[in-house]
Amino acid sequence: MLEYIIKRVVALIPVLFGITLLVFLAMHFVPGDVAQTLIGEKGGQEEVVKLRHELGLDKPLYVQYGIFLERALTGNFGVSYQTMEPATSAVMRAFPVTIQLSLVAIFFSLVIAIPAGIFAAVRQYSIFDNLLMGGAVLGISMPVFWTAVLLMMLFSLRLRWFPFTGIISNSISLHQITGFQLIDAAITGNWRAFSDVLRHLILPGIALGALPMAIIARMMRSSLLEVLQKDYVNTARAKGVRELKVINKHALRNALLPVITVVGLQFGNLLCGAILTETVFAMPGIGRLAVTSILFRDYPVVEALVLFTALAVVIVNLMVDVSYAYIDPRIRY
Amino acid sequence: MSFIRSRLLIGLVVISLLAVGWAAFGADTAQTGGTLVVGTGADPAGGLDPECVMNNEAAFIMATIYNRLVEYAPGSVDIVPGLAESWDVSSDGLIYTFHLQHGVTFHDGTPFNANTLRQVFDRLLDPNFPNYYANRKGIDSYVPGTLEANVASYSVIDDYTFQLNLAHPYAPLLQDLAMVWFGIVSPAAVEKYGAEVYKHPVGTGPFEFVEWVPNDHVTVKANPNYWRGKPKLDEIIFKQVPEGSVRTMMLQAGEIDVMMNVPPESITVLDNDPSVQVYRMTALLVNYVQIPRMVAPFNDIRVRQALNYAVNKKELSQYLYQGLAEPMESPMPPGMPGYEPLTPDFSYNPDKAKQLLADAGFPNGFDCNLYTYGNPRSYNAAGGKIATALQGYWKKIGVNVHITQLEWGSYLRTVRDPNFSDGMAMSGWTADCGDPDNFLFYLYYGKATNIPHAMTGRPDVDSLIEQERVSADPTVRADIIGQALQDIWQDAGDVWLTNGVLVRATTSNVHGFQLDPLSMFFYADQIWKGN
Repeated sequence: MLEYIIKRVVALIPVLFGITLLVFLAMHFVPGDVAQTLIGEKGGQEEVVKLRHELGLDKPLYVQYGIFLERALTGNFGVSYQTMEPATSAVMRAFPVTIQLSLVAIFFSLVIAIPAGIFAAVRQYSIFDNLLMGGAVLGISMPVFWTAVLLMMLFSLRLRWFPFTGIISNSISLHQITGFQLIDAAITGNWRAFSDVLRHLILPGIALGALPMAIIARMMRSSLLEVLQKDYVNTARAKGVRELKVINKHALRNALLPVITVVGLQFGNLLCGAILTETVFAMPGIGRLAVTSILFRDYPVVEALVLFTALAVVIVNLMVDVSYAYIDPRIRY
Repeated sequence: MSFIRSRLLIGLVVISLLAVGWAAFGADTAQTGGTLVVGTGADPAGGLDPECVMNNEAAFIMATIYNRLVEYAPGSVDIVPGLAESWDVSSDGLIYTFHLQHGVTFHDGTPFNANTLRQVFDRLLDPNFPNYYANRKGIDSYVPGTLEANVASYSVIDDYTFQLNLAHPYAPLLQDLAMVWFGIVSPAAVEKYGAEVYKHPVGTGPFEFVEWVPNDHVTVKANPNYWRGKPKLDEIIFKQVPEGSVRTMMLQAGEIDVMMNVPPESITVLDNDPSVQVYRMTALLVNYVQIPRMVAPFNDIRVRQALNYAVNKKELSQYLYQGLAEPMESPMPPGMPGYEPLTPDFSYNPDKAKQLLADAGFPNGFDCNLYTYGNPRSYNAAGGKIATALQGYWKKIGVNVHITQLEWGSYLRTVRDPNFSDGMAMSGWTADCGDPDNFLFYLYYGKATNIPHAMTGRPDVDSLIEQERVSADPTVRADIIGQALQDIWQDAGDVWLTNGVLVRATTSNVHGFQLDPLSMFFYADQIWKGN
């Protein structure tokens, strides 16, 4: 197992290298110009030329890539063109917000999707099955900005149950240790802050979790249906094992394998930044950072962001692969 | 007895009237304390060092932290004393002597006087100064075009008198110095933080900086020693909420108290909400189409006039901008000193437009390009839709326009290229200060590079603009400006479209809030919250 993990980690290096090249080229071939965008519509051409020189954007592309690689290897991506703070610290500040949001979203989607999927499979073609799967289609089809605004209208504007935006109320102070607001609140025993952050995460978590929830529920249903047709399930039933036990012990564990793959993929997607959700809920996470940085052609931040998220996705995929071995005893690395 | 009774009655009436009056007066009495939450659309990218940034979100915050030497009167662009309590200008317009306020200190305790002011100017004008402002890379600044281009030297006369000596008369100087971009930064803070002072802003203003959490909020707290008197609020939080519809809901729910960028689609909802107060004011902005005046067929004035007559600006104002715009009647907007509507008014007349085209040798029209951005701008809330509307109008006179819509960064790169001459382009401008030169010089001076091709090939207009800039006599200057505006207008150098209306909204318990024509957030110390 350890050998397998080491192999996978080593294989990461060319992948990440390829990603840096792609991102670098993509950002530089996007039409538009960093200097002109930063100077805005009011600056003169002399200022644009001067800024281009200051930022080193007048150097040949391969030289710029060399500088970027050197920086990336040392973990120092340079400073943000927009805010002048180190790109790495901008990304490190935004990442915990997105990770917490993604965890809440995935938790919410699993809590609903897994039981719903099982129930729909067990009662195939029943009214419940139709309702649940209809709901899942709705979850896939509803654009997240729409779900978000609806949730906000109901729970924030009308009922006043949850706050509108942000990750923590301005009136609450929280000592920063890890950057993960929930963990920091728990470590310092600041339960008021903990519940405040949690309340901030619930609506965006639901909005963001709707799509993975729908996908996972459908996957759970079809996967379980397939397993329930298998001979060994019939054998178990023929032996007189009770239906609940058949599903729980014989079918579910085998049906979970493809579901875990999907959960892993979905979680990876969420980590790449919930651009719309974070914009609507004004959460200072990766998604919002990505939008503002791309619009401003803030190369250092975009490059740092993509590299970090790529790394996160690869790690999640690795974890998924490793978890197979635990769920399915037949799989050994 | 009846006399006594009537006296008693009168007495009672007077007392009750007094009581009612007192109660009413009490209800109106300014209340102090509390937190004001201001909802803005974006992060103050670029930071809070006024000489190094040109970003409106940063400007809102900086207007509460810093004072300028001279400032704008509330709700107007008239110049009033700021950190200079008075000033004299020599008759040749070359020497500006500022008499400074006494007893002012920066938030860090540094006293404000002529010596500290000299250090402020050292930072801006002396490249050998250790913390020269332009040592920081990638900044956006008004210093080169205003101070650097015009100030020859500066000196301390005594503790509270400071002098600026200009290389040549420069009439817009006071208007420039009043801009939020010339906030006076504590020299001690500059020395302490160096180029990073943008993260640690220290001024003399009504509010002191507390914290900036990027992409989330900025907090400032009342400066109890503010030289104009302690602000009424305890603190202001500038909260970033990028989505306009969410800002609207938050204002309705009272989660924010002031909404800086009101999306046009929210105005009706807010107008009908009794818990919200909507403020409107003519904004100092213009929305127009830039024409490459030197390139055929646009080099014929009749073609340019035809393009102007073919567009129904009233219809655009009413429908595309939902009543929040007015047809332009001068190259600069109403509200600017010396503004007056000019002739002809280029009101909608497609027949005349067709005739003009035929006279110019294009009876069947022609094909051309129109470049546009897609995103809404302060001067054009409709973004790229305006180009489609124009295409429709011009098609009626035979001019077939091919629209190229570009993302903002690419748009700027394309149309601001000095060699761009590929067709017309959507353009616009919001005033930086209350001087007509801000429109004349940047938009119509042929040698300026901000907007290539604006009025190139009109040496007479260039000469008028050069004259108004150095004219020390206000009356003479006003005449020159009037002449320049008239010449530019009659030349139909652009397709003039609309001026706009600035809209902001507050919850109805916010008092003392005032709009200002430059779309800033001045005089926040006057704001208070009722119950």
